[in-house]
Amino acid sequence: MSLVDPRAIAELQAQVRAGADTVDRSALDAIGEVDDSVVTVGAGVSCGAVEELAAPWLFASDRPDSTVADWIGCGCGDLLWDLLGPTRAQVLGVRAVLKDGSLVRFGGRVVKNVAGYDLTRAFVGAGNRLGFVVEATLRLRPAPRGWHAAISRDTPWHEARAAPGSAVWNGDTVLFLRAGESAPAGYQACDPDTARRALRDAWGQVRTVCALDETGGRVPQPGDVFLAGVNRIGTRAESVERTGPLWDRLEAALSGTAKR
Amino acid sequence: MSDWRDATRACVHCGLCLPVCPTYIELGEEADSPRGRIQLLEALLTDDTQSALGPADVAPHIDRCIGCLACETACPSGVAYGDLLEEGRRRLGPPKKWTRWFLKYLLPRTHLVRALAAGGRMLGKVPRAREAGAWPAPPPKPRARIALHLGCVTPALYPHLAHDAALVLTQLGYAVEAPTTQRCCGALLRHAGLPDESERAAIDRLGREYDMVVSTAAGCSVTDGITDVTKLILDEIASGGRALAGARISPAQKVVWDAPCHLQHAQDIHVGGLLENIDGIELQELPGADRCCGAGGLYMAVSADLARDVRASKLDAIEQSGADIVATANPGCMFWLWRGLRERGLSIEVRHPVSLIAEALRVHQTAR
Amino acid sequence: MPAGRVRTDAATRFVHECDALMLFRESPLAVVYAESTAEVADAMRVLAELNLPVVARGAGTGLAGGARPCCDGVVLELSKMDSILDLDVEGFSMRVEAGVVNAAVSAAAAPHGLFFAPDPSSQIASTIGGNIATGAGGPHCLRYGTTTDHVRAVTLVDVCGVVHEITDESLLSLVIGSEGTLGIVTEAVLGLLPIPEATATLLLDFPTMEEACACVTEVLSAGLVPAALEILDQRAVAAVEESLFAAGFPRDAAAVLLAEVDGTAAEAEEAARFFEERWSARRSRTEDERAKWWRGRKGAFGAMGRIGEECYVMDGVVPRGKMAEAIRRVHAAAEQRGLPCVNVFHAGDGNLHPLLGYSRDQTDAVAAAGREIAAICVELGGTLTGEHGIGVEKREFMPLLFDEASLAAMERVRHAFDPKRRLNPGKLLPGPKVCAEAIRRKDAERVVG
Repeated sequence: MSLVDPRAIAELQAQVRAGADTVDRSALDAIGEVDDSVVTVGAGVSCGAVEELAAPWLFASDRPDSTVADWIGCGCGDLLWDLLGPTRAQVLGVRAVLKDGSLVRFGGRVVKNVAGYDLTRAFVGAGNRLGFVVEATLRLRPAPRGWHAAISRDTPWHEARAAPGSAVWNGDTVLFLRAGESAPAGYQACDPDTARRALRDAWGQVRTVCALDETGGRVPQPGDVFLAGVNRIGTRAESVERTGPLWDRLEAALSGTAKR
Repeated sequence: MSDWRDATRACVHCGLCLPVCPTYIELGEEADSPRGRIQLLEALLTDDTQSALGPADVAPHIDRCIGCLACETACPSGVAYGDLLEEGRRRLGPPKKWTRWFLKYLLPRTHLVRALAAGGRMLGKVPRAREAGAWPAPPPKPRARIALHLGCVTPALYPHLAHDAALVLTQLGYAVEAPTTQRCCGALLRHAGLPDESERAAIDRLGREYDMVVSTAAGCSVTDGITDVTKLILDEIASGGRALAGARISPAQKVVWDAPCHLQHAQDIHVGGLLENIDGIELQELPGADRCCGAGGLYMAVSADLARDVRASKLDAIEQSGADIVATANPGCMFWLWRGLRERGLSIEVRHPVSLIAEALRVHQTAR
Repeated sequence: MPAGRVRTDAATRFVHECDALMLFRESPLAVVYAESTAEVADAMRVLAELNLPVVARGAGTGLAGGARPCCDGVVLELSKMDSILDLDVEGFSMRVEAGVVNAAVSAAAAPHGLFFAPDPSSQIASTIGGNIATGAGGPHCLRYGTTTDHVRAVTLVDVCGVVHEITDESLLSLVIGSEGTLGIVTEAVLGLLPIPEATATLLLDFPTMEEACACVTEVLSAGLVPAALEILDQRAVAAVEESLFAAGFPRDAAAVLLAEVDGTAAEAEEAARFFEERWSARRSRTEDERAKWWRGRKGAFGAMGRIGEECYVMDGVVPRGKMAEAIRRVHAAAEQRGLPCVNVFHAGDGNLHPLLGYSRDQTDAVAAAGREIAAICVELGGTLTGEHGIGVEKREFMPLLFDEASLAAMERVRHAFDPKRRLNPGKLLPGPKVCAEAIRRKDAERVVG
């Protein structure tokens, strides 16, 4: 059962077996049909294309021009985190070519799945270090029944982050975005595109990965986007540094370089 | 009693009994949880020569069970744990040798029990006796004749309790007598695996002579044929009766209710609301009121260390509640809590709800 | 280790032969009660020297046999590790030991307006360690996600007894749901969420199961994400109503749907109205009634003691649109073998829980039905388990779901963490029966002496 062209995958496998560190996945451009709020797409499809295809269901990434493969490798999530969850919660299954050239499939197309190791989520945010994703099954969420935005000049960030939804703080102003039919007090109904564009612009400034208030977490800086309600500053790092003995074991195991 | 096999068969191992079991809470060990004990008892009782378990393996864990039956209340499958436990204890015999002597020889001799209690009272190991009011005259047209079952240790520890119960029950319209021919209810014997048919027969006989046999001890009223005094008061309140109208405690007291296991789990009687109906009682919630205090009849003597550990969190809760009085409806629990509170140097009183109501009625009657 | 931690007495070993899956039993060589991460590390070092297999156990409420010991192996009991180590209200997190009971986390967080979202039906008994091992879900994970979405860090003792603090999300994802095959999780930092301002619980009944399932799809398509959407079929309702958890569910309906909506007061009200207007749902009037409905739902598995002599609870997931079809086929699979079948399930996630009643002479029939039901779920595009785990129950079904290359990759991961396969052997991945290995038996005999 393959959505993307098996020949394209075979070619990619050959490249990987030959020792390629990077691969071109633009040929993996197949798009499946949305079925029961789930869609399977080739890893070379752009996030923007998935977003269009998903309607009326909701799919969101902060970077519509990026491919699904890069979006998964980055694992950076979206401003609508509160609605969608982090990237790893949006990826239900992957097919991937491992570093030894083998083609594997982890996860599936249902929203709850604990069969075997959750290697699907392990791929999220791991760059290409565990292998090359060739196909992904994505979870879509019901589109909200409305959008509301509020702008506040007096809300300090630590209060703002306790609110549900997403929020951007630029030093003195907080922009809140909420999804839902009825307007919470102080919120105005808004055009979702306008509100999200504003958030997205600010989001683009964030470069670090950090959860608020955890040991080692940094002091919020002007321009931070924080995902209110989930209490996190969003991640925007291109690749997360992963080190340590356990990570080495995982990487070696999947790349086939581990001793048996 | 149902077949013990039904109990083991009904258990699906879901584990929902674990968090309510006082010994599992204390020890965190499967073999001392209801689910573990059910498995052990099944292995013990099944005539299976292949079973690797003998009575000596099973006994310590069964002996450690307080018999509070909180697991029965928690069990979604309706496992009749109490029946299984009694069957197991019958097979295993009483936990310690002296318990047989205590139950068979000492308890039936109420004068000896009383003498022991009097001695203990002089040493400060037994609560001071409260003044017992006069035995009330029966109402002109009693709704029923009650034989008040005094029990074995209650008259020794709490001699006033029978009078208090008689006062309250008379107020409710019953004619109350305390027949001198009565014997022990046999509950302690049954719990120790020594069921005694003659005790059973004595209760039946009393039941034929009177309309009802009533006890102030939750541990006794679990016996078939005996009604708990609190049930009659609750029925009166539920039926909208006015018999207790005007009863008032003065000065007002902060009271917490600690539910005896043998009322709430074994008989499904919930007393808290009863106290709310008495003026002057500020009923406060006691966290963990539905948990066993560790008394368990003879348990507090047989497994004293574990009983103390179980009691500790109860005493903490009582202490933190800031209550003047802790009310509970079983003499064993009353005694065990009293001892614990005094050991901590606390002066919080321990009262039976019937005594509180009797006191409230006396205040009311004096005021009139 | 301190004295008394290692138990080899017959009674303790006997009660550790199985967890809540009674179909498979195995006697452990010993039970070790550890009371801290350091003691777990000590125990793991000793076990490594002795080359003995080990399985961690909390409350033993697992339904896939994940905590069933390997014969001649050791059960590492973590139930006494039940301390809450730190509550960080500002950071919405709590650090707990693995033996802390799920419900105790929310109870401790509640005074600060916070809660722990994963709420398996066993939550009053099951431990965080077990929740992490299985990747436990629960009714409310429809909106909030499962355990894997709410764990920020774990302390993992590896097979050699080395302690690792894991915050890396890839590794966290790997460890959560790994059923104790990669290491022993002894502590965890859990993420907490603010308690929603308002919650409304609704009861719907349907003349057919198809209509109940269609309702779920309609609700989600309408843009609502309820906190929970649970369905009980008629026999499940009957069992619950006869138990101590009688909730007042209508007994004449083919399916009862319990829906919970939450959020701000306006959001909850709006969502509740949607149910009321579209399906004349009944809204709980009091907190008591709401609690009673949930007790009825969560006590349903236990109440199945009333269905048959023994009870087998399955766990499978299908795409939501295939639920009604799956249930029809599951019923047929059970009935053709003469087994009563009841369904209580997390409908919003397509997570079915067929419960099969059986007597002790029907174990072959129940195993065959189990295999067929697993195959049905996979065939319909679903999976073998949504929240109970693979355990010993479904390891041989794994090839239904994964091809050889994918299983081999998982096998390599396991091998990288546990080269001698001593961590919960005989679980999760298909493979040789470890218990038959003579070498291990010899090791065991050497230890007992």
